[in-house]
Amino acid sequence: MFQRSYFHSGSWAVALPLLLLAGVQPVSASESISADEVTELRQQLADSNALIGSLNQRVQTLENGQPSGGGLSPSDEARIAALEDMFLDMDERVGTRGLVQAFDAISIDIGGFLTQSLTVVKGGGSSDASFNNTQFELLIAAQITEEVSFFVAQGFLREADVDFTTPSMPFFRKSAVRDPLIISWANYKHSDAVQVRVGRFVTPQGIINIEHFPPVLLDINQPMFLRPFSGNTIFPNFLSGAQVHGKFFLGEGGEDVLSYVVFSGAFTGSDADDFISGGRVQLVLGDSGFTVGGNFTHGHRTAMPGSLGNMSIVPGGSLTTNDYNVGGADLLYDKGAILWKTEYFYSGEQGNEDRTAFYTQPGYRVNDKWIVFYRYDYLDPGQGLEQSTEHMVGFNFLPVSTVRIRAVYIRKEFKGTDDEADILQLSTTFSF
Amino acid sequence: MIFHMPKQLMGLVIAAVICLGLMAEMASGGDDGGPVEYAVIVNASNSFADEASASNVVKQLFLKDREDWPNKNKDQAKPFGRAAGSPETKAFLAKVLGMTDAELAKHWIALKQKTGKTPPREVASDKMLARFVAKFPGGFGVVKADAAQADGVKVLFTFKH
Repeated sequence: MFQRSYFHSGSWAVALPLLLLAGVQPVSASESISADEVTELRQQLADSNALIGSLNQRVQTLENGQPSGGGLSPSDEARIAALEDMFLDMDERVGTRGLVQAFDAISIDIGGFLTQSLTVVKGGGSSDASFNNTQFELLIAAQITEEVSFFVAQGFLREADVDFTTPSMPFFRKSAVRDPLIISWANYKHSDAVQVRVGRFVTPQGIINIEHFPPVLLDINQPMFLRPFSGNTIFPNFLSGAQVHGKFFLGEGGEDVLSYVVFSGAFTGSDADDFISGGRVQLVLGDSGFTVGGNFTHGHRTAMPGSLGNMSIVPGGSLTTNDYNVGGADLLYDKGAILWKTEYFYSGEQGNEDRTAFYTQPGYRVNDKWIVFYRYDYLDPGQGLEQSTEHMVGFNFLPVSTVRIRAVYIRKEFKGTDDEADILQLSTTFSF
Repeated sequence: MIFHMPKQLMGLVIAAVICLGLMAEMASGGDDGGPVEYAVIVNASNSFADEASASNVVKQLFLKDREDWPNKNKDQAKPFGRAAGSPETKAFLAKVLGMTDAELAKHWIALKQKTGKTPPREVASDKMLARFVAKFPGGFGVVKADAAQADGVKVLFTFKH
C-alpha cells in the first residue's frame, strides 16, 4: 500500500513539470489552447504515466528478488545454509584433531568388522558349549594412483575349534590366538576389461569363497568344502600369486556382464613350489537375477597330515600327495525376496580317491531386516575319509545394515559311522 | 425459510466443491506436490551419448560395478552422490538404481569387504555438484533439472519422481 501511494504521488511529481512545460506556459502566453495541443498534452501525460508504471513494476520486481534490508535472495540463503552445514559437519569430524595423511596415496580408507559367536554342540556321547570365536579383521584400502589400488585384511582371531575327531564326542579345543594376514593385494587397472592383481587373495572360485567375509554371509560357517579356514579341501581358500581379471559389458545397453579371472599361485599349506592355477568365467544375466559361473583349478597337493580343522571333517592340509583337476559350476539367483546360491565342485585326484562337494542355500528376505534360510551341504573329501552331510536352518536379523545377528541350527550327519551331531550357534557381526 | 435453505445448501455445495478441487489439485500433484524433474549431469567433455543405455551405464558406474565410461576417451568414472534421504537420492534410488536404501547399503558393505571400494562422495548442493562434475572428465551426479544448466556440464538424461 505504501509503495502504491508513493508512486501515485510520484506520478504527480513527474506529471506536474510536464504540465507546467506543456500546458501552463501557453496559458499565460495566450488565452486559448487549440484542440490539437490538448490532445498532444493528453498523449504526453499518458506516455508519462505508462513510463511511471513500467518503472514501478521494475522496482517491485527487484524488491521481490531482494528482501527488505538489502539481504540475500532465498536461493542464496539456501546455498549458504548448505555450505554452513557442510562446514559444521567437517568441523565436527575434524575439530582440533590432527589430520592423517597417507605417505603416497590419493586416498586411504580404513574399515573392519568384529564377529563373536556362541556355539553349543551335542553329539551322541557328549555335549559342549563355548564362546568359541572372536574375530576382528582390519581392512585397509588405498588408492595409490588412478590405476593402482591396494587392499589388505589383517585378522586378529581368538578361536576354540570344534573337534569332531570322534564324531560322537565333539568338544572345543583350547583357545588359540591367531593373527593371519588374510588378504594383501595390489591391483593395476588397465581398463574394465584388463586388470592385474598380485599378492595374497581369495581364490576366485565359486560364490561364497569370493564373498568370504562374515558381514555379508548368512552363516559364518562356510560350506564344508571351504573348511577349515585357509584350508585346501577342494581348492585352496587363499593363494599367494597373481591373477588377471576383467569384465565385458554385453547386450543392448551393456546389461549382461561377462567377467573372467585367470590365476596362478602358491598355497601356504603346501610345498612352496606347488603351483596352483585356474580360472573362472561368470555371466550376470541383466536384471534377471541370475548369475552363472564356471570354474577350473589345476594343482598339486603335498601330504601334510594335521589335526581336523574347525567344525570340519578334514585337516587343513591334504592327506595325499597327487596332482588334481577341479571343475565346478555355480548358480546364483538374487532378486527381490529370493537369494539362492548353489555350487558344485568335483576334483579328480590322480592316483587317489576323487573329491566331491555340493551345497544349495535358498534364502528368503522377509523384509530389509529379516532373512531366513536353509542349506543342504554335502562333502565327500576323499583321502580315505568319510562323507558328511549338513542340514542347516537359520535366520539373520539386521537391525541396521552394519549389524548382523544370526541364529543357526545345524544337523550334522557322518556317513561312515552313522553318527549325528546337533549344533546351535548364535553370532553377531559388527562392521564399519 | 423455504427460500433461505437453498442458498445455505448452495453455499455448502460451493464450499465442498472448492475443498474437493483443492484436494484433487494436491493429490494430482500441482506445482508444489507433483513429480519433480531431475537430471543426471556429466562433464561437458564426456562424449557418451547413448540414450538407450544411459540409465543402465550410470547405474553400473555409480555402483562401481564398472569403472570406465564407454566413451571415446574411456574416462575413469567419478560418481558423486547426494545426502542420504535427500529428494535427489530418493529419486535416483527409485528411478535409476532401482534399489531401496537397505539394498544399497548392503551393496556397499559387500563391495567394501571384497575390494575396499567405498560409496561415492556425497555433495550437499546442486551447484557444488555441478562444479565437481565440471572439474573431472568422468564426473557425474544427479541434480534438480532446473539446476542442470551450469558451466562445464551437460545433461545426460532426465527423469521425473
